[in-house]
Amino acid sequence: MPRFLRSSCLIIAMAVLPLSMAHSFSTTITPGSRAIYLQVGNGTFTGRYNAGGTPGNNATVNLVSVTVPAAQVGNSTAQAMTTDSTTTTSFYDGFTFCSVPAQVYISGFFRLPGSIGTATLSVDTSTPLTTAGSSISFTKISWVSSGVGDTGAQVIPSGTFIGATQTLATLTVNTWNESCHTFSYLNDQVVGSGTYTGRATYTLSAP
Amino acid sequence: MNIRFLLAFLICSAINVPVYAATFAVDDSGSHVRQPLVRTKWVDVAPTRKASSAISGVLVVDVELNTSAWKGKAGKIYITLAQTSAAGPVQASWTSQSEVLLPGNLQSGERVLVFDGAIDSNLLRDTLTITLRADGNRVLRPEILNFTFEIDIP
Repeated sequence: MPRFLRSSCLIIAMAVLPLSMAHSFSTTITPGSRAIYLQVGNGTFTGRYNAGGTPGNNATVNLVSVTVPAAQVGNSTAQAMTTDSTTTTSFYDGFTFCSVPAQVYISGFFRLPGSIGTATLSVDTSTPLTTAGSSISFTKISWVSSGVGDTGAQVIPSGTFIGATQTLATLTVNTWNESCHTFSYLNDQVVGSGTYTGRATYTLSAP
Repeated sequence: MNIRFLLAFLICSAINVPVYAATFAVDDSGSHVRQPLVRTKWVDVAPTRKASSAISGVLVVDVELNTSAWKGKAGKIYITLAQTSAAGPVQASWTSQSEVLLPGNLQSGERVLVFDGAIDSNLLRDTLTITLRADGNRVLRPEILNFTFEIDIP
C-alpha cells in the first residue's frame, strides 16, 4: 500500500510538470493615436460621427460681416452680423444645431490615450480690421454663444474679442464640443466710410 | 485488512483524479507572429458624447503547435490570453484560415477551446487573424500581450 501511494503522488508530479514549461506567442499593442480637430464655420466630414464618420481638412475661411447704415454709424446700437458659413448641423449626429446666416458653428475635440488632459481653444485678433488709412479694433466685436436645444453654459462661451490672443475655452480630453456664435458689431464709435476687413484666427492646442 | 485496502484505494482514487483531466502546456515555439507590434486605432475616430474609448488592432499569427506528445490521443486544446497589469481587459476575436483551429473570442484571463478531437499529427498548423480590442483610456503605453496554448487530455 505505501508503494501504491508514493506511485500515485509521482504520477501527479509528472502531470503537473509540463505546465511550468510554458510557451507563448506575444505581441505588443500601442496606445491610440493622438488627434485634434477644430472647425469654425464650414468644415468637412465623411459621414457622421456617430455613424463612424471621419473628420477631414477644409481650408475655407468664412466671412462674418455687417453693413452699418450711414445714419446709424457710431450711435451705439449694436449691429447684428451675418456669416457666409452654411453649416447648421452638428457633424456629430446631423442635428440642426445652428442657424445661418446669423450663427457660426464652432466645434472641436482632441484625442489622447488616457482620461487626463485638456486642450485650449484661443483666438488671435491682434491685427485690427482695416481699410485705407483707417482701422477698427476687434474689441468692437462680441458674440453670444448658444445652440438649439442646449441648456446651461456653453462649452465655448459668449465674449468679446480683446484685440490680442485670448483663451476662449478649455476642452476636456476625448469630449466632443460645439457651440453657435452670433456676432455683433458694437458700433460705438464714428469711423470713416469703407470696407473694413480683418481676420480672427482660432487655434486649438493640446499637450 | 480489507477495510484498510478499501480506504487506501479510495484515497488513491481521490488523489489520482487530476491525472485523468491533466492539463499540459503546448509548445508553440514554432509559431510566427507577423505583427510583433500592433498599431491600434480608435474605433470611433472622434470621441462620442458617450465617451467611447475603444481601440482596436489586428495581428496575424502562423500558429504551429507541437502535439507529438499526444499523437494518437484525443484532446482539447485551449488558447489563453494573460491578463495585463495596466491596460485593463483586452478582448481578442479570431478567425482561422485552415480551420484546423476553431474561431472564437475571449477576454484576457480566460481560455477558449480551439481544438477538440483526435490528434493524428505531430504538428497542428493554422493561421489566425486576431482582432484585439481594448480601452484606449487605459492603454497609456505599449502593452505586451501573451497568448498560450494548453491541452486537456482526458
